[in-house]
Amino acid sequence: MLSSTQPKDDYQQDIIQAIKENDAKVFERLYVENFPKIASYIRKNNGNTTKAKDIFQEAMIALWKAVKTEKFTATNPTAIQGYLYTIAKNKWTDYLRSSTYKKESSTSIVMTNVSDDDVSIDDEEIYESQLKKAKDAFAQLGDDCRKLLSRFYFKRQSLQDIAIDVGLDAASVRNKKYRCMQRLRALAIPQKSEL
Amino acid sequence: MNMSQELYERIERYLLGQLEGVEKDQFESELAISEALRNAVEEQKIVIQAIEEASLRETMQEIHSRAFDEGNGKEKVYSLWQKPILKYGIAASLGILFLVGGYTLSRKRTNNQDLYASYFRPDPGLPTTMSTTQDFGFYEAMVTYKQGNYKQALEKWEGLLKTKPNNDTLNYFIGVAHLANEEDAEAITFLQWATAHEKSVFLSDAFYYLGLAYLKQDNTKKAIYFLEKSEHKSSEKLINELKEK
Repeated sequence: MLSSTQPKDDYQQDIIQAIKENDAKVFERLYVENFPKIASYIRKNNGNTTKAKDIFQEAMIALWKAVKTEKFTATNPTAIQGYLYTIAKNKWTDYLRSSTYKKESSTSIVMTNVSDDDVSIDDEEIYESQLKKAKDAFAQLGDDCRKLLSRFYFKRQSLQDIAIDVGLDAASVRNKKYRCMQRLRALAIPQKSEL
Repeated sequence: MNMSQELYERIERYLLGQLEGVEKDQFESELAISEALRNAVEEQKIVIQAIEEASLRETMQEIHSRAFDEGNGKEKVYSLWQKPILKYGIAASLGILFLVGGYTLSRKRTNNQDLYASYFRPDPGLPTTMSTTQDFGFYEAMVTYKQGNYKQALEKWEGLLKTKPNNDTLNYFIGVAHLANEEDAEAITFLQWATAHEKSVFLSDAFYYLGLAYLKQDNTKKAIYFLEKSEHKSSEKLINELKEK
C-alpha cells in the first residue's frame, strides 16, 4: 500500500462494494492514490502525463467493469492497486507496440480490443460495439437528459432526491426519465423488437 | 421500438434487483419464453452501462482536473522531497492566495474573534502530482486535509515531519491544519518554522496565517506585525481593520 497504514482485506472488500455502488469518494481516492505512480511509470517509458491520464482512466474503467461483473476479487491487501498498475502497464505496452504509436502522428490514443479478462473476443466485440453505440448516443442527448440519467443510474440518487434538486415533483422526474431513456434507446439501438 | 413506461420500469426494477417474490418469478418465467423480452432486458442493461461508464469518465475528468490540473488547466508538478520549491511554485501559490483572500467586510468590527472568523479560511491545499513513492503519504494526508479531516491529516504529516523536520511545506500545512483545528498555539509553533524559510513559496502565506493565529489569541500587536510581512491579498485590509479599532 502507499502509506504507513496497511489496509486489511475487509478494507479492500469495502472498496469493492463502494466501486459497485459508484461511490464518488472512493473513485476520487483510488484516482489520487494511484495515478501518480502510474503516471511516473509511463513518463519513464517514453510517455507523458497526458497519455498517462488516458491510460490510467482506461485502467480505472477496466477495474470498474471487472468489479461490476464480479471478475475481480481482492485476493490480497494490495489487489486493487496491483490490478490497476498491471492493466495500465499492459495497456501502455500495447500502445507502444501499436501502429498508432509507431506512426506517432496523433496525440490521442485509440485503444481497441484490449482484453483484460478471459471473455471470448467475439462476444466481447459484439458487446463492446453495442456499448459504444450506446455511449455515443448518450453523448448526443441533451444536457438535461444526460444529467438526469447520470444522477439516477450512476450516482444512484432516488427520484425523490433528484426531484428536490431540480425543483420538480417525483412523478414528473419519473416521466422525464422514461422519455430520456426512450430517446437514448432510439439513438443507440437499431430498430428491432416491438414490445 | 417504443416500449411502454410500465414495461421499461418493470425491466429496470428487475435489473436493479428490486423485483421480489411472485413478481420476480412471473418476470423470469416471461423471460424464459419471450426472446423479445430477453432482448429488451439486454438492451436496457447495455444502455444503463453506457450511462454509467460515460458518467464515470466524466467524473474522472473532474477528479483529474481537481487534483492534478488546478490553475489555468496547466499541470503543476510539485515535488515536495526533491528540491526547494522556488519560482515555479509561485504562480500556484498566487492562485492559492487568490482563493484564500477576497473577503469583504462592509462594517467595522471591533472583536478580534469576529475578525478572525471573517478572515480565516484554511489554505485550499496543494494540487499535487508526485513522482516518488515517498510523496504518497504526504498527498494522502493532503486529501484528508482537503476533506476537512484536519486531525487525521495532522497525524500523518507529523509522522512525516520526523524525517523532514525542516521541510517548509510540511511545517506550513501542519500549522494551517492546527489553526483550522482551532489549536492556535500549536499553529504558531509550526508556522514560525515555516516562516524561517526565506525562499519558501509559502512564506507570505505562512506570515498571513501566523498573523491570524495571533489574532485568534487576541494579540493584536503581533497579529499586525506578522500580517505586515505578508503579501497576502487580505492582509492589508485586515491590518487596516485592526488599526481602526
